[in-house]
Amino acid sequence: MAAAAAEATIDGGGKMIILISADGKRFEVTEAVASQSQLISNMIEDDCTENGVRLPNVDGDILTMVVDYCNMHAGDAAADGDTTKASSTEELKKFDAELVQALENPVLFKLILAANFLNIKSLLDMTCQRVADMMSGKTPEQMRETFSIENDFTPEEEAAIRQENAWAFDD
Amino acid sequence: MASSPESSPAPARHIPDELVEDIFARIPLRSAAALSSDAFIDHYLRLANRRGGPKLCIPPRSASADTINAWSPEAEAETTTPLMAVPHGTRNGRIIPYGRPCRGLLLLRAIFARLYFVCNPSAGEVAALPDGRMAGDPRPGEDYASVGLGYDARTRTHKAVRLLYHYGHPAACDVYDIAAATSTGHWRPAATGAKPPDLVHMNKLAVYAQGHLHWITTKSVGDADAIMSFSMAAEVFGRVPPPPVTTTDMKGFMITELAGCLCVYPTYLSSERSLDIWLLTDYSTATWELRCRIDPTAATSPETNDFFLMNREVTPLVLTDDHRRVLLLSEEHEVAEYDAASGTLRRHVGPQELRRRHGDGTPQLVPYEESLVSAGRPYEDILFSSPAAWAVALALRRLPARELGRLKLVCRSWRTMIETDRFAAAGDGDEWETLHVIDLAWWPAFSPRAAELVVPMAVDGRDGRVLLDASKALGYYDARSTTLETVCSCSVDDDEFINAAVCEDSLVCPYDRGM
Repeated sequence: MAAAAAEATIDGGGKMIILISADGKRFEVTEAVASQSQLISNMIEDDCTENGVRLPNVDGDILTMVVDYCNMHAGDAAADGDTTKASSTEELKKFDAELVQALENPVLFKLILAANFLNIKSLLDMTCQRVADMMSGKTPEQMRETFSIENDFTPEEEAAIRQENAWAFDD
Repeated sequence: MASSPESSPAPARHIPDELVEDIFARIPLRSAAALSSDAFIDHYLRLANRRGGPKLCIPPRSASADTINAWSPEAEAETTTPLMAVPHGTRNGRIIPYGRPCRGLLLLRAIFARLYFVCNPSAGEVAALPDGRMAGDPRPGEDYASVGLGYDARTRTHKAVRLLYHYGHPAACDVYDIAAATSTGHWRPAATGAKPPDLVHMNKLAVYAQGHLHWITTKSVGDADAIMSFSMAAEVFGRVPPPPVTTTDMKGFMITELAGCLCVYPTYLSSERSLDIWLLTDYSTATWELRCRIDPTAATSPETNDFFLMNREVTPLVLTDDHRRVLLLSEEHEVAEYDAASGTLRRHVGPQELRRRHGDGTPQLVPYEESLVSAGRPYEDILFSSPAAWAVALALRRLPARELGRLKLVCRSWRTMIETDRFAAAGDGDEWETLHVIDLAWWPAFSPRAAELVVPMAVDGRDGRVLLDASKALGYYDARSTTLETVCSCSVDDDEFINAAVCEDSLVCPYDRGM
């Protein structure tokens, strides 16, 4: 991470910002990397990142993933006409897929919430899409299994809801 | 005092604890709200409502009114005090109190929107309950929910209870925890999984008293109606033996709550039937006491005579003057106080809001209690408050409607989440576009000054004109010429209004889906 940050500074990424997780871990990133988060971007504009940005609802391990993601995607928005872009797009896709593929649900949920809180649209899209993919095409029974949810409907209620939403169950 | 750590211990050294609490109970509710231990809330409820005679709550009389008022019959004044505004967005229907208040909280029902709200009128707090309807396609009179509000003294929390009927048979009993730490934001099955043992007609209100909710059951002709109870703490159903009124059938009788006790009184008065007010004074031994007998034929003054001649349906509202007198509500919504010892009746001139007006329903008067108890957080806030639920909701929004229809079957919290307005609103926030901006101020009958609500009723499929309903006037708005043609209108001064509906010819039979 330090290497990536140093590179960004050489690139002219500008000032460094300290992000502080809920459990007190500190992450040093460039403004360019951090401003992929709309929340932090607004804070930079308002000039209130001087003493580090405290993120009370993001844990250190989740913030590690978020920072990795932002470092990888830092070139995205800025780089136009970059010759290395074509290959890096492939690389990014692979990186993204690997990032979310292996995650357990609770971690994935935390990542969604962090992306939502920090307002990083691309990360939110990607993580939500991953969950949406897990949901789509599944029966309610399979869903309960996937997300470890207990069925708290009575058989009568289940029948009634099935009837009410009959259009959704027609195949 | 010792039990409320928020208050300063200093005065307690000089003044007895009870006195300090008394003093606090006299300070206005909104300032007292800051010092609220459970014991203090109970104490406030007892003391604050004892002073100044009984107060009544006057709900909004029509769909266009939006304020709940308080009125004190004892003050002999025609003025009312506004308490709070009822929630908007209840889709064109009236909001009515659904039963008497239960320890400071009142259940409200928006009839057409099929929504229930819990409110504390004295604190101006209101929170919606999750839907109060039966799942599935409702058959009129056969599929319905009957909702009541009670208090569990063991956990010191209010609970809403709904009885669900399907195909005209008991289907389930659900409980919703209000303002409890355990509140989940959705209905849960009663702890015992019990179903209501009997049928309760959908218009019969639940009555809370002595730790139980009560309903009069509806049996078929020939069978006796009974009083069904539901224990708020144990969440089990039971029966309350009726008072020894001559028969054991509850047909022709109503139930309410008076002085904290379950009360039985006759639905109609006649020359043969006096207004006997029975109180269940001992719940455990089912001991009934005839608290008051008002014999309409033995009235001691012409005024009393008139009152009972004109009114056949009389509801006891509150016991006053240390239970020596009873406040009665007539079918004409007149409030009168009956003194059992002297047999005299004092009629109260009510405020304007109480008088019957053509075209409006009459307001349903209920007692008003000042209380510090919380009406709970809106259920949507509770639903989305857990991080996992919020993450799931963010992901669910990306799924198509058909998929969501299936996912309602996963569990109660998912179903409730998917069906919330908040979920629906967030789903397609970016896809709305403004089609017309109509400057209503140009047309007097439609301007915000004259019309409280202007509803776009339909868009003409041929020329794109928009039909606008301003309740006193109906008009076609043409976007191309920015003109508004008034189709019909009625006088501003009287109580008439237009009730427009869009007709559609169709061969589809209602209620035939999935059958």
